[in-house]
Amino acid sequence: MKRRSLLKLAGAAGVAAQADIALLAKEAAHVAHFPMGKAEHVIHIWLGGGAAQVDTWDPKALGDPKAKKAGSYYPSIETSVPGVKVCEHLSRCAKLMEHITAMRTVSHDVIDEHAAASNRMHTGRNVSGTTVYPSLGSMIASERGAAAEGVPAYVLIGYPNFSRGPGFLGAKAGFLYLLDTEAGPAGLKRPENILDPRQSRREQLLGTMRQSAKELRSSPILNEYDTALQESLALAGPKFMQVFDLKSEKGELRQAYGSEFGQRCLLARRLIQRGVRFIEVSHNLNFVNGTGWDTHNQGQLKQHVLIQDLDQALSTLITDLKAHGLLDKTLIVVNTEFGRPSAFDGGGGRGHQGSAFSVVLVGGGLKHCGAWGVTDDECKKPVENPCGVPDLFATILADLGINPAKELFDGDRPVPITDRGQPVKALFG
Amino acid sequence: MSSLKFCLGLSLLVSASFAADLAPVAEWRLDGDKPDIGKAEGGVVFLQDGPSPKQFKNIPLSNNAARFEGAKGSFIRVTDPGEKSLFDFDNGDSITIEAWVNPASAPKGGNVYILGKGRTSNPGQDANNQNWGLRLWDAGGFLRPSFLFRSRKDGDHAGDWHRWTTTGGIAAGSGWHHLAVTYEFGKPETIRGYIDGELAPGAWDMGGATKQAPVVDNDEVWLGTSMGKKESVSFDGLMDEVRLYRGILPEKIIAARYPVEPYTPMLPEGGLPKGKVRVEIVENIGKAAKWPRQYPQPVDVYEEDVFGFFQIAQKYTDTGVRAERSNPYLLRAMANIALPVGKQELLMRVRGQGRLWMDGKVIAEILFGQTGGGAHNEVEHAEAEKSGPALRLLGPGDRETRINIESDGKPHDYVFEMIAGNGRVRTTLGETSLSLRHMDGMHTLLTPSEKIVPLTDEGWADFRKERLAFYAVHDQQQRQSLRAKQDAYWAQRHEQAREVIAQKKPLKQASIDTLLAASWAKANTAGTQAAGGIDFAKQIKPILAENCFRCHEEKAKGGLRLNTLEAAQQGGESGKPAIVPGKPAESQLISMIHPDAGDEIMPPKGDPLSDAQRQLLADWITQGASFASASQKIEPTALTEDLEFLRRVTLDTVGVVPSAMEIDAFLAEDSPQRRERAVDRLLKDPRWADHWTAYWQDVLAENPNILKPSLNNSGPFRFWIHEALSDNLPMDRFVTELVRMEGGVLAGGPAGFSLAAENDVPMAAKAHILSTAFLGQEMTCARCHDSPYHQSKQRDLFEMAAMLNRKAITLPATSSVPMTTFAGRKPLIPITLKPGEVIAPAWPSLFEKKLLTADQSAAAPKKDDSREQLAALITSPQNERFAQVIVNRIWKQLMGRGFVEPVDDWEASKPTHPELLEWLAREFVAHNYDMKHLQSLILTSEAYQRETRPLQPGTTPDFAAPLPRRMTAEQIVDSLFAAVGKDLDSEELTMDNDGTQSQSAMISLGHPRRAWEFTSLSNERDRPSLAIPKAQAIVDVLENFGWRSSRQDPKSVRETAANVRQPAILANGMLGRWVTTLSEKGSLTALALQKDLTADQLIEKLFLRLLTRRPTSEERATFAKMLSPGFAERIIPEGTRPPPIVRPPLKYVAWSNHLSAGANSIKIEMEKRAREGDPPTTALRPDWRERLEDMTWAVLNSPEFVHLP
Repeated sequence: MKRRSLLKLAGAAGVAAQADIALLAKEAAHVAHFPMGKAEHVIHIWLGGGAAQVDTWDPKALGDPKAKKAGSYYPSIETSVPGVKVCEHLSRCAKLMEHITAMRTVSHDVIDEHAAASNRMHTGRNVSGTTVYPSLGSMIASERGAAAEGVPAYVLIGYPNFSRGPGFLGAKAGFLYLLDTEAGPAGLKRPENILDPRQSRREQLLGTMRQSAKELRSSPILNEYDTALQESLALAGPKFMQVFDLKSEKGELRQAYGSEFGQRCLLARRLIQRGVRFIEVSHNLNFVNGTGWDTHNQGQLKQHVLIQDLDQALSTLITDLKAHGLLDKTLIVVNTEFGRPSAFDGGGGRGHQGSAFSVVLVGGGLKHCGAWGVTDDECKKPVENPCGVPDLFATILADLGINPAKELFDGDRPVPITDRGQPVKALFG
Repeated sequence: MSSLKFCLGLSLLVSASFAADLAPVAEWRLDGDKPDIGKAEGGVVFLQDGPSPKQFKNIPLSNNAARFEGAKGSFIRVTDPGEKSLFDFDNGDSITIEAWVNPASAPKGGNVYILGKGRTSNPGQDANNQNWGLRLWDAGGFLRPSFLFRSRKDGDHAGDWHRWTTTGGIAAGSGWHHLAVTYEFGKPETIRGYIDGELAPGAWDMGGATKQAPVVDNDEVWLGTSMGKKESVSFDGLMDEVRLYRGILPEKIIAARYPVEPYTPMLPEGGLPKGKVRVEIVENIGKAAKWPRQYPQPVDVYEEDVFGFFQIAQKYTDTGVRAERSNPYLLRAMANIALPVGKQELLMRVRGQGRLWMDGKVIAEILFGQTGGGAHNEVEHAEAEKSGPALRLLGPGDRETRINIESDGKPHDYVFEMIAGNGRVRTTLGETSLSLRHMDGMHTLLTPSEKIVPLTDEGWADFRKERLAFYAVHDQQQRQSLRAKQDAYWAQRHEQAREVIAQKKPLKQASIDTLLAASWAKANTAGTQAAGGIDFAKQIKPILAENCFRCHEEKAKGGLRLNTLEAAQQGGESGKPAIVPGKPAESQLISMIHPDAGDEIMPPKGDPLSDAQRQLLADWITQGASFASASQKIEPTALTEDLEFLRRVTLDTVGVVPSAMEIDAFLAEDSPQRRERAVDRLLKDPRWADHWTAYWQDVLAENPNILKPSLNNSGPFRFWIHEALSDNLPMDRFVTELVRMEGGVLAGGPAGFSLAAENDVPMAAKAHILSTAFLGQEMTCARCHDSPYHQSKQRDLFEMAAMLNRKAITLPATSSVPMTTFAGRKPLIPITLKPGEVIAPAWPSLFEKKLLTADQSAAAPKKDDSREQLAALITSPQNERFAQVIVNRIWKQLMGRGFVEPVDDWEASKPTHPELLEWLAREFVAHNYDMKHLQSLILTSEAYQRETRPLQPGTTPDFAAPLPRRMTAEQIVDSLFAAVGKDLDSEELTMDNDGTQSQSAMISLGHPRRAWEFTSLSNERDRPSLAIPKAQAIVDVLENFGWRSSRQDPKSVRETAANVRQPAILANGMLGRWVTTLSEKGSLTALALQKDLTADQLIEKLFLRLLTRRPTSEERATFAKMLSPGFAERIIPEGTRPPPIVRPPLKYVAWSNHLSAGANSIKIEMEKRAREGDPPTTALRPDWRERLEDMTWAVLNSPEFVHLP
């Protein structure tokens, strides 16, 4: 078989966990045809801690923690998509359900460990001893680059950790991060005591030093660094940095977005307008319920405050993107490390559950249907249209026009971008 | 025996009413020179010392005991008198077994017998006929009493084991203990166990509780062993007063068996040391969080100056690698001190449970606090009761009490005791101290010496720094004295290695520079001879480099390489030569680049070669395809200037830029040997270990986590690496210690290397690391299948893994590719092992073929330990590859490129300079695998000291110049702090800063001093309350420059490509702000405050400190213009300076309270403070200060700073 033809086959192969899929792919009998979407950007909302699907996007019959009766904690409501119900605290999103698909049958086998499960849901892979997989953001940043000149491809609003990092793709596929919308991005936002006159004095002095460096120590690597330095000065300049100035938005809109999480979503929209490809927005800001989305024990009691916060920001983001004509080219993914069982723990909260949980897709030009896949009455197992993590990743990548079977290279070793994921075809028009 | 027979006829219904008078049916007092009952076998030693009457008041003075030797299976055998004997216990019978034991050791995971009936493996006896037995089960060095019997077959019931084990236990080597168990057969709820007279909780575990009757037969009663005297079930140590009763011995009587008086601390014979605090560390004091009942003897004794403890002496194994202290351990500190006359107030602060004795009486005590589990505890106010100026706040998790003393002014004995850890929480010390309050309200640490350590923030910081230096020396001495015991063995190994080298074909007397010069001469001659019309270097090589070398230079895609004529003539897998000199039509190269090649066309990506390019290649082949070039004569570059050399060599050895003092000393030395002397000095510098630890962390995938091991985490064996380098351990010994994996997994010993969390076969991961690190053999693919690109087979990797595992490994399905993948077709990935296959330990045949055979090794490993064998085979002098791999790695680090690339994968390429590589490797072996000797050879060579020159793409390196290099991430961070004379400032690397979590969940990596000490900050939970702000700022810089916070896999070469975030984080990040702010700390502020200083001198000194060079005239002019205005008035006179900014203390956040209200906002405030850094000095006028800061900023952000000269 001709080598070039072989490469085209990659991804249609079997089920090995850590194998060199490129070679496996040569076994495939057919060329797989993947549907491709038209999304240009991703806003990846991360519900750290493990959001309870049964209390949000996949409601079941009401339970009772006191009586140890498994089930939803809140009543459910009808949505704009007939037959699809969500928790009553998602009332704003419920009215926009035609733009939303709750993938209700996502599952993995990483059970009780936040770090490992977060890694799984960021990279789509299990940990391997022989390679470090890149995050979704890094994959997309690396494949598509930024959508405009002079802006970063991948911005993280949340804590840097290596699950969000570039893995074997290397530093160029890394993120620029900021911890809160006020502080601005680490590395670009100038210290607040350095005002414009000082900065221009600094840059002038630096100019002298750069000139000496080139005269005294010129080498290809030093010159490349100097070019990067030039770019960084531009990036830290007002042209890009004004994107972080949320005050320039209408007060009404800012209010509509709500809390700091909402402000992050607003910033995400602004970053997209500026050409950033992938933005991860963390929703683990205030432990208003004591535990964030990790609703063990009494963390359950005020879970609705978190849900309402998400509902307000997400629904505003959807309408705002739509108003700017960006919804069809922006895929919003509401992701989390695992779900939670419908049964209650000893303290009236919920434990961890990877066997079935919901990841929500919004916009991105997909053919939305409110909800995809069905779980059993206990919300424990997929019973219809199961969606493995690789399939979820394949769906997202395909929507971005990235072949889910494409090979990335860890040195010499070919590593398919998803672990043989198949996009959910029904979502593509 | 006769008394026993006499009893046989009695009815044995024992009622509770006279239980107090219960007499044993058998008793081994073990006071004489033979057993009281039965026959001693296997070398039982009598007339040993029993429990001491000093300790136990009811023990007779002449109390002897017997020693049982576990290795020999020594025991006492008692014959069963027959049916229904007193030894037979059936349902309804009650039993009590008690014994005094003093176990010396315990076989790992073993179950050693104290007394049991049946299960002797005697001929004719059922193997599983345990009527009853009292045993000790080893739970990681901790012996837990355990009662065992076998239920007999009864109808449907097949018979089963029933075992009840206590949750507490005793430590081997911790002295005499009394154990007892009572039970009524048929009533599982009646089981009771006792340790040292106290009821010990326990549970039925194996087989569960049962009402079934036990096996009763006529097998023997054995004291000390069972099951045919296997070592794993044989008691090793002393036993005394073993008794067996028919009946339940009441709790009260058992309690009285262990009649200890509360102890008072014993002072050393000859009194307390003058002017010193004697420190004793006592281990194995029991698992419970309470004062030990017996006076425990210390395992470590040393001297301190004051009563202040944040660290104690490190524990080492007998081979000198880090080991774990027991949890809990007892810290005892004692001194003879005279307090001033009158009312005095002492302040006692402890992390664990502490008490203070004065002249044998307890005068203060703080018991363990009730820290709730979880993370919802209250955020506490860390503020101490302020009783004096500047008293340091009480540390997180620490507690304090005040003690009033009416002092008579005379010396008294003070003994402080503290239990660190409670078996559950980590063994931390926090900021444990005893201090004395002075009249003015100041506190100083209590001391018998003249030393004054104020309990203030500054006082504690200085104390800490000074004690860290003390412990570094103390620990090193301990370690080296232990290691010295093996020096003779290693000396002999190294002697053998020299003999092996001596037998090889001798190499000419040579040096790096002569061998390189010879290689250049040879190449230059070849170049002149190869004229012809087309110049290879100028015309041909660029085409090959651009289009072919990505796959066909060092990599050999399709088996083809095009980097030499020989290789090209050989061709690839097609079998056809790529180049036939003189015959372009027969050269595969020409046909493959032709557009007609269709799907096969080369290069596979991008545009095809132009017609002109193809014509040129064809012409070149016609002319003979010479790879030599007339135009490219190898000319070495000039030697660097002295200061450039100093900066380069200082960074390459100790990892930071040279200090002002080092520069001055170097320049002052007017000697032709000053470069050599600098190399000498730097290789002896303790910071050398800091620099090189970072390298081995990457290569060995050292990957600890401060929060629950996951994601392929290892233990923090960084500490062992650092200590091994600090001791300049010979490299063969280094590898041997690593492969042995001894010491504490979490204490920093090489045992930490054995851990690979969430990995289905940790030892396969480790075998892969070792093979790339030390043998240059890449085995990544072999983890799941035979390698398609390399010679390594999956069996090779797993055989090596099994050697590390010390036993066979069963291949799990998760490390395999299921055949279903291929749907019945022949797989292209070679798969030769099936899941479930058992792979025995063996030196892989791949290495047998390529390196040496298992019997070739001159080293003499222990034949029964496959780890020892593996270590010996890797480091054997017959295995030339090992020494060459190390040499090549070091050469690459210092010269910018290896002789063999990649350094961890030697399969694809041959060395560029084989003679030099071999010569260096032999030098290395002949000098005892001494890393510093090897580095000295390179650093003192002219080759190293030349000006750099980049490698032209596609050319073979000639080492006529070192390659330009960027600093590593660690060098950048460490140099930034060093250049401005500030200490690296970070929080402790832990989430458990109050010491309330278990060691298995959380560890601390301490307060980092150097960049290599960082690790992932693990905020996967994404919670502000878990942030570690200052550390995060440093980690941000490190990561942007190619450091990995998580080292899941080994890496020999980091990415160094420039990206926009690198200069950005230096220019605008927190770290950049800290180092450029002229705060009170730091040598730049001190420099600016020097009185007799001109602006020009300041500029020159600044350039020397930051860039190790003098400013150019243009720089002088630019910066003088900046600094001159107001230069004379820059210093604000003392007395008129504004007061320094003082920030109110914050409450603390740790894991234990990070989910409580307020935790997030505290951390956000901490982040804000971190961002601001230390406030600027109030001694300099702000306007002028800002100009100097901007200048510092400009120099540090120059591309020059982050590149080696």
